[in-house]
Amino acid sequence: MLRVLFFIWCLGFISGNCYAQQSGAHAELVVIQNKPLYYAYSKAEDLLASQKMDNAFEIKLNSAPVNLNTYAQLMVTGRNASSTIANNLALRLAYKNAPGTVANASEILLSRNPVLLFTQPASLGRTVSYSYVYDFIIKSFTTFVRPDTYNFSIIFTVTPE
Amino acid sequence: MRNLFFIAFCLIASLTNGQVAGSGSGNQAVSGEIVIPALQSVKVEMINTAPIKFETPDDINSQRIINGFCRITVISTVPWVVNVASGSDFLDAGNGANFRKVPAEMISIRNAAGSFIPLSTSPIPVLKSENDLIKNVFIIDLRISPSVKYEGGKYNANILFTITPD
Repeated sequence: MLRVLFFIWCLGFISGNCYAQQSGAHAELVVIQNKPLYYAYSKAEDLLASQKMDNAFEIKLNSAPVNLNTYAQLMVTGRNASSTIANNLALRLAYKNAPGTVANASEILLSRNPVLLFTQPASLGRTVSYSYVYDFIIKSFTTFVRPDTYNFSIIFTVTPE
Repeated sequence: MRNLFFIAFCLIASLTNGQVAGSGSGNQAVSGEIVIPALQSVKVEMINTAPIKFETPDDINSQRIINGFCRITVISTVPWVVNVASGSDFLDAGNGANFRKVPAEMISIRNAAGSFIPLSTSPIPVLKSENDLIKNVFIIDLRISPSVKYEGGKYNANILFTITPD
């Protein structure tokens, strides 16, 4: 009886480890929001300049034995979700501690479709957690904007290359 | 009892392995909020600040158009109208001289259609949004129609531009 139970435990342990290895290939993504992504316009002139929130959030991504692409995708909700604001939000890489990572250092305009932020190269050594800090930018407006409170989410996805 | 303890141990060990592995995540999100009320501003800048003089009978008997009298910068998140009005029915003749009554309607502002609108204390539309751009800049012309029936002197005009949603 004990042998049967021990066999079951072994199966459980092995299957768990297999899953862990698969999960390792996808690596673990953690996003830490450093400050509220909130802005309330109070003067018309403010719409003519970009509003930047420095170091708004940090993406932490473990190294993995495969190249990892990290994407960002914008979702705007509310009555006027399809308005011009959906085309006015951007990210800019402020800091990274991953020397081999190929990252777009210029302003990255967010959209409803995933846009690539960076590609973290494969690493066969021990697991290392890398950090990527991003500024959040509301770009200047050139055309009318419907008065509203716009709620949005930025969804980050990691996929093996 | 010993068997039950062993079974419990096996189950916990198996479940724990699965949970640690499952914590790997490829999907995270941050959320935020942007508040944009209806915002409007109108800025008026005098281009030529020199006094406008009428020094001869011919000057008095003819109208004068001052092209490029002022620059108006409109910033608005919504369609808009700019109205113009005089601060009072009569021009300001300075300290102690306001017995000289020169009507503000002597001054006209050219509207977007090219017509001159005489000033009054009632706001009259002079510019209107014709595109969906947040910022628009206009150069405004002025016309002054003096008359010999008004007493000579130095007069100041207070011209008010206001913006409202259309």
